[in-house]
Amino acid sequence: MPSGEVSGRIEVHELIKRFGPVLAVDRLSFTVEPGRVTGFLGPNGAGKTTTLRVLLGLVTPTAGSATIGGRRYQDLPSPQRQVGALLEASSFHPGRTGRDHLRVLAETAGVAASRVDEVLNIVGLTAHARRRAGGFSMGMRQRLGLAAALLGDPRVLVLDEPANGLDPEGIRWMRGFLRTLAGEGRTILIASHVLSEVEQTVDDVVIIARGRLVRASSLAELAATAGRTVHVVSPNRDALLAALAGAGLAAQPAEDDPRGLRGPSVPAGEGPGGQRGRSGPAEEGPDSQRGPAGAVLVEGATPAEVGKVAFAAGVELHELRRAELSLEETFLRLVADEPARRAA
Amino acid sequence: MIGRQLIALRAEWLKVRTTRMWWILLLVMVGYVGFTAAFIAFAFAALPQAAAGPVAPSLDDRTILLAIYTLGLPLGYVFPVVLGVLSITTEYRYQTLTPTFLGEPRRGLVLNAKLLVSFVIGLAAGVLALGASVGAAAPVIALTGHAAKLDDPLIWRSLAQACLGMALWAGIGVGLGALLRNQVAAVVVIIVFSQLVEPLARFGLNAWSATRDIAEYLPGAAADAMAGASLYNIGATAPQLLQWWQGGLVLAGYAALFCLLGGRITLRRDVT
Repeated sequence: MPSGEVSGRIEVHELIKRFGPVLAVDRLSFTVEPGRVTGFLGPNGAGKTTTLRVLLGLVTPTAGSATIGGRRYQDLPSPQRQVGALLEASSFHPGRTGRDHLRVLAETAGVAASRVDEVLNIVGLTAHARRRAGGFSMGMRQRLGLAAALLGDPRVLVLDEPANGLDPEGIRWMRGFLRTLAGEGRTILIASHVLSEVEQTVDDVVIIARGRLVRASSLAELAATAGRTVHVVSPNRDALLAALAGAGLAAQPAEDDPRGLRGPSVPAGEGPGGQRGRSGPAEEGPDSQRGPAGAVLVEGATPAEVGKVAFAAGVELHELRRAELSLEETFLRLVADEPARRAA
Repeated sequence: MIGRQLIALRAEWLKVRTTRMWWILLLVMVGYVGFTAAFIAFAFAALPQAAAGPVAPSLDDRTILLAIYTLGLPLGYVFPVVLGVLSITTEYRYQTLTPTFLGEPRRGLVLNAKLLVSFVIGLAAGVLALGASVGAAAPVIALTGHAAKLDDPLIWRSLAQACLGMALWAGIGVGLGALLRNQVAAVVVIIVFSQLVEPLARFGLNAWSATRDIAEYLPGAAADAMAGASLYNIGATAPQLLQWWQGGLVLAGYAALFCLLGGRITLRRDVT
């Protein structure tokens, strides 16, 4: 456990950030506990990076607060020794060597120069440390950024898309490393727009969309939600929907999207693998799962409950099964539902 | 607070030492100043034969000698300005402002540190630039049969004042960088102002006696005052210069104004 006077709990309270006409963060509140890895998830433009930058004192909030151990980042006595952050991977002068970049940061952090070589070793960059950082590959830049975050041996780590540019082996290493750090009682917050990227690492999730909190829970609870979605097909869909609504079950037609994953308002390309050529296991679902017209998805219910409602209402059913949504699909549904809810 | 300021200073100093731009620029400056000073000295040495009038400026005139020896300041001042500007704009350009402000969230301390480090580099640039102008001009003057007068204490005092002027120019650069943030914009502003706007303004304002006093307060004129001589004030209608310390105060005033505005306004903005 690293020493220090502040606890590692991150608290975001009623945070609002407006950039001109754009409301980037909209009354966002959540907490991140020490000793756990928390995934901070949302599509691109959801407000994740803005929230992190407010938390780190780089952006002034319009209203509300974001604190670490009850203090604003800029009020921490020696911030880099309490909080390590990785925001953009390429925040270095290209003419400076990787090692010199860290030496400059070590100077401000007030840590010994020997710590530079330690963190270079931890992230596996020792062999390239004396090369100019401008020639680094994306993966090496990412490792350099992580090395910078680790310099002060901080009890809180804030990482924005840390797996960016890492090869599969690097990603696996990062997972293990972050788990170890959390095991030491540190607070780890990782932002990502792909749940599958952090699914094997995180204990908790904070999901936001369009600047608002959508879900804050443990990953296990999210998985339980995923397991409780029912796919049901009826030739008389409207009657089915009415019956389900009457029984108080959250149901929605699934025909607009073949897999019933997204609301109609999410543009193509926002999904996994769409934006930056990222690939993830979420894409593995076969296209043959295309639902027929009349398909309905029911959240938070079992097939038995849905079947009972349909039977009682006398609605004919052609299919009734668990939707077997992956975590990623559940996540996408959560962030896609948000605009519909706002419009309502 | 003092401890954190010292840490910020050491970090800024390390930033300069771990990049190459500063010594490349200083090397270019020394070459440019040395060559031009030698050329101008030679032109003055050759002048009497070409146009031997009664008021022809002569290298035997101490004011002219002084103006040539201190050429390092008017020729070289753009370099400390650019170095000062770069200390801020490179941070915007390479997004290193993020790690810089993560390391020291009190942004004023970072600006102070950059100002002080740039001031010291400006002093060093002054020593190099004035060394280049004296070192190149004095042999030319001696070889063309004039007295180099390097034993004149007034010349050395002027050289020292000019060095201080170079350091103050570096401070103006830091302020400009903080205000403008964009590297290309800042460099364009410096070049257009120093090569076009100010020379024209000095020329124009000096044309009327009513506006002549204003010209003294232009930064280039104030810097010339620090050197105690200027090639502008040779001839019958020589414009006046301020006292050297007045010139220093004017330059320091520009630096303080720009840094204050930059620190209060632009540097406080969100780093995204």
